[in-house]
Amino acid sequence: MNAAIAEAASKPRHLSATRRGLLAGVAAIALGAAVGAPFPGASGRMVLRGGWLLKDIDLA
Amino acid sequence: MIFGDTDAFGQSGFEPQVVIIGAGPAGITLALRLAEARIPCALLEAGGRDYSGRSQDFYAGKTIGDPYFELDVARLRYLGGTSGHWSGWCRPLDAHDFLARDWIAHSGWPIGADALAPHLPAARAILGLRGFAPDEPITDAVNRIDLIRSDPVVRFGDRFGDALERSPHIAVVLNAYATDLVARGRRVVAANLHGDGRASARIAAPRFVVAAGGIENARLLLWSNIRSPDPVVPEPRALGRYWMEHPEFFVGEAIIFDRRRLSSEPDGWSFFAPSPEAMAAGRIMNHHVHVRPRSYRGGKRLVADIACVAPAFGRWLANRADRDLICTARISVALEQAPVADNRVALSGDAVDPAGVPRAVLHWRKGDLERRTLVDGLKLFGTAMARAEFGRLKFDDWVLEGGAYPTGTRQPIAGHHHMGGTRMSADPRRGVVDADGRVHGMGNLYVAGSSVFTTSGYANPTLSIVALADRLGAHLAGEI
Repeated sequence: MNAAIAEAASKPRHLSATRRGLLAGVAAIALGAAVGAPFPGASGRMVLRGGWLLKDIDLA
Repeated sequence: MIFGDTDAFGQSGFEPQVVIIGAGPAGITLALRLAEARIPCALLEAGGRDYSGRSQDFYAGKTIGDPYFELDVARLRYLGGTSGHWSGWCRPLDAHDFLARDWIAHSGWPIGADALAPHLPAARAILGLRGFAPDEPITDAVNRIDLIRSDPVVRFGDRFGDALERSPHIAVVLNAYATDLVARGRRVVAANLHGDGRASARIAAPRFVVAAGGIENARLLLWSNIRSPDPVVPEPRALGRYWMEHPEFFVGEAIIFDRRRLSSEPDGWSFFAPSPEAMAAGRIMNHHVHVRPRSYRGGKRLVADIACVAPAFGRWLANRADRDLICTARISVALEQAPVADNRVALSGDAVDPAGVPRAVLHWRKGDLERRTLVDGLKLFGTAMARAEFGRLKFDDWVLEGGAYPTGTRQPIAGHHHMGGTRMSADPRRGVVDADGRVHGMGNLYVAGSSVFTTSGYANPTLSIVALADRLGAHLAGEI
C-alpha cells in the first residue's frame, strides 16, 4: 500500500506544484512509516480541513 | 379480464362500481384489493400491454427551473406503469415524516404513520419484501437504516397480468386514455376516453379514482377543471402545486476503516439517516446518506489527500491499509424536498398531445432548505462516522463552496420520484384530497399514488404508494 501511495504521488500530472510537493512528502512519510500515534482518537472536536471532516486529534 | 380497447369493453356489458384511471402500482393494487371484496372495477390503461414509442410520446412535456429529466423518460405509459423501469428500492416513510415541523412550511399530514401501518404487510407482500430492520443508532444524531430492494423487481404488468386477466371483478381496458372527467354538481359522472386511432368513448360509474401518476394526476384534474361543466376540483388553489422530488447527488468520498463494520451486504452498501432529534435541533429536513464502498485501487488518491492535511493520520491509515482493512467509498445524499407552492405541474399554453390535451409543464426548483439540509446533514453524518470510528468523510468542493449543484450524467440529480400536486391536507386551500384520499368537496372522486403525499420524506415512494392504495381499497370496500 505504501508503494501505491508513492505511485499516486509520483504521477501528479493534474496537480499544482504545491500539491505535488505535499504528495511527495506524504509518499516519503508513508514509505518509511511505522505506526506512531494511536489513531483514531476516542473523541475529539470536529474540524474541517482541506474538505475533510476530521477529529482534532487526527491533526495532532 | 383484459380488453384491448374501449370498443371491446363497451360490448362486454361490464358495469363497474369503481373506475380506476391508471394501471400502475397504485391502480393495480387498488383493483386487486377491490376484487378481493368482489367489487367490480374498470382499470383504464392509457397505453397498451407493452411499451411503445407512440404511447410514450403522450408523456412529453417541458420542465422549467432546475435541470431535470425529460418528462417522457421519467415515467412509463403502458400496463404496469413506471414499475417497468423501477429500480426496486423500498422503505416506509418514517413516523416523523408525517408530523408538522415548524421549520418546514406546509408540513404535517392529516394522517399519521399508524394509518398506513396496517397496510404495510399487504404492500410488502405485493412487492415481495421481507420485514424492515429497526433503525440502529450509531450516534445520538445518526441511525443506520434499512432499505430493501424488491428482488426480482416487481414489474406490475408482468407480475399481475395473469391475475388481472383471470379476475371476473376487474376489467382492464387498454388503450383507454382518460382525457378529462365530467362533473355534475359535486359528483363525477363520467370520464372521456381517447382511443388514439381506436374508438373514443365515455365511461360512467358511481365512483372514480385517479391513479395515473405523480404528474398525470394533476394534469388530468387541471384539464378536467377547464373542460367540465362543473368543477372536478372545486377548491383548486393547491391543484398541481407542492410538487416534490428527492434531490440526489454524489457529495463526497470517505475512507472506511473496516468495511465489515459498515455492512454485511455483498455489495457493502449501507444507508444512514438523521435522528428526529438531530433534524429538529438543526432545523433540517429528512434525508439519507448512501455509502458505496469501492476498491481501494481507485481510492489511493484519497489516502494521499488526507495525508496532506493530517500527515500522522495518513501514516496510520497507510499502515492499516497494509492489513487490507481499509476501503474507500463514494457518498451520495437523497433529500426530502420542502413542499413549495411554486413547484408545480401546469398545463402548456401552446403544446398539446395527440388527443388535444395540453402537455405537462413542470416547474421545479430546489430551495435554501434543501441546500442547508445537504450541507448540515452531511456534517452530521461525517461527525457520526468519525465518532463511531467508521472512517472519515471528505466533501466534494461544490458542497462546501456553495457552488451550483453539479449536472452531468454521472450525477443522479433526483430519484425519478414524482410526489405532490394533489396533496393530502385537512385544509382544502392547502391540499386537494382529504385524509381518505377523496377530493375535497366531491362525493365520489378519489386520488391514489404519490401525488397525494403531503411531504416527501426521503424514502423511495413505491412502498407507500402501494400501502396507500391498499388503504384506499379498504376504505372504498367499506363504503360500497
